[in-house]
Amino acid sequence: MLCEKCKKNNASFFFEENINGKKRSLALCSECAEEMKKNGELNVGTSFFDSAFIPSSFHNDIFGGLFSDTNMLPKSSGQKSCPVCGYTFAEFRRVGKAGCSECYKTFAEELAQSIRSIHGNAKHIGRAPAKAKAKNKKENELKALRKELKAAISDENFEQAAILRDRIKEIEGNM
Amino acid sequence: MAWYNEIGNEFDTVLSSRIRFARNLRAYPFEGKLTPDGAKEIIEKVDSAFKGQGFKRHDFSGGFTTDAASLVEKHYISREFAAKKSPHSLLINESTSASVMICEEDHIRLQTILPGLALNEAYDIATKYDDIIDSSLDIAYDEELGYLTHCPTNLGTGMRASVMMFLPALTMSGRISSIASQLSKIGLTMRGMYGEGSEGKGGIYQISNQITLGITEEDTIKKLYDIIGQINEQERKLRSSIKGENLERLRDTVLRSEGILKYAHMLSSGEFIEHFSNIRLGIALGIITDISYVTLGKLFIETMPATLTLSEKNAPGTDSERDRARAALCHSTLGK
Ligand SMILES: [Zn+2]
Ligand SMILES: [Zn+2]
Repeated sequence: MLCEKCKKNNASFFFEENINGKKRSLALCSECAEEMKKNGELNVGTSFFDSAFIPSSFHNDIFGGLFSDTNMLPKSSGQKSCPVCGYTFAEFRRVGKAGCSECYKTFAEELAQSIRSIHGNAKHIGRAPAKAKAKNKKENELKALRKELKAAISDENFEQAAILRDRIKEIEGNM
Repeated sequence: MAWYNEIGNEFDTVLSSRIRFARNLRAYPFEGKLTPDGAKEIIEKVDSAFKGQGFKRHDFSGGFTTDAASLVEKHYISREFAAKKSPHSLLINESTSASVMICEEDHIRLQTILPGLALNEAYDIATKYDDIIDSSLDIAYDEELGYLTHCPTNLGTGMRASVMMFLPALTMSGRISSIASQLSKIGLTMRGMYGEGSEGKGGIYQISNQITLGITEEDTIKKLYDIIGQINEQERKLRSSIKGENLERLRDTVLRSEGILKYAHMLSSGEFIEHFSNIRLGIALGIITDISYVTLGKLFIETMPATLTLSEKNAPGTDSERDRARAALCHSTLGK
């Protein structure tokens, strides 16, 4: 996180003070902490937690820098904004993070290249919510049935085709 | 029992294993666009999803406190979570093996942590709780991009699998940076757990997956087991060659460190980590037999600045008071 005073450097000191039961907390970079100490702006009895002993967090913010090549972006990007959260693409770029889950749909075109540069040319595999898994299963079933239907029609097996058509309608109705 | 109070697999080189899942509620915007009221609603929803699972809830707001800092030191919450000023809550189970950060960077960060090398076990626990999340909350998900997360670096599985490794011999030999650059080529990252820069203080490093899209959770974990196996082999080979060639010098270093932790009158945390590392290596190589991994590991957490401050009746306020309290705790734990 950023230093709360200069808002430029990374905070490496976390400080908490307690004045008559009123607590205040500040995250500072080493320069600002040093300066405040010198100016007597930090009261006696405050405690510093040297961040060297606070484990650093998980993710790294490598995303921000990946939007540097603006020539690659579609022309319309400038005016586009997310209908759910109101983020513009410029905001997304500045922060390097989405405003809401819908942003990924809104800016799909603009994001494609950056996502590729992080993860490679890939589509999700792995765990999925039960609802999504069920939908996927149905879609695969439909695909298979449509193929069978086509085959039945070209074989002039119309009785079988009628059965398959009903089955497809039934699944589509459930979706 | 907390992860740092128990012994685990491959404990000479692996301190702990951790799995983290990022999940978000479809109906709410991410941090930044989320209002305090929205955050409170999410907290209630996630809390009620976990009702009856034996989790205890802690509510936070208003920024960094000593309590939160202690939870960071114990690896239950992230630094960013601790420093947040908007409403955020932690759910943690009785054994502390599983916890849920609500309204961190993502709405839900589910974490499981176990001692030693136990990624598969940690993953099994995590999926059990992830199923509970899935069955009671509408989670943002896309067929192509997988779980939708605040930061695009977590898209896909939203999973970070990581191990905290103890690699003093590889650190001494200067081979760490070449290992780190090899790992980055295969989608893994390695970084020093304590201190700034690439060389970890005390030879403690975190290795985790970088890529989350286009690879399954199982394959990610398998890759980590493969790599950890190779690193373990190198570390152990080096340790035994150091022991073979320089036993007297090594014994001297280890025993000096033992002496300092037992009898020093003041100890800074930086100094503590250095001697901790030497003694732990001494235990692994059979040079020290009267101190156990668990005793030393517990001391590692209990002497961290915030945890130490909380445990003392007269909370040490200044650095030198804390250094004195740290030395006193080391003496009373090891010096008898
Ligand atoms: Zn600053
Ligand atoms: Zn949006």
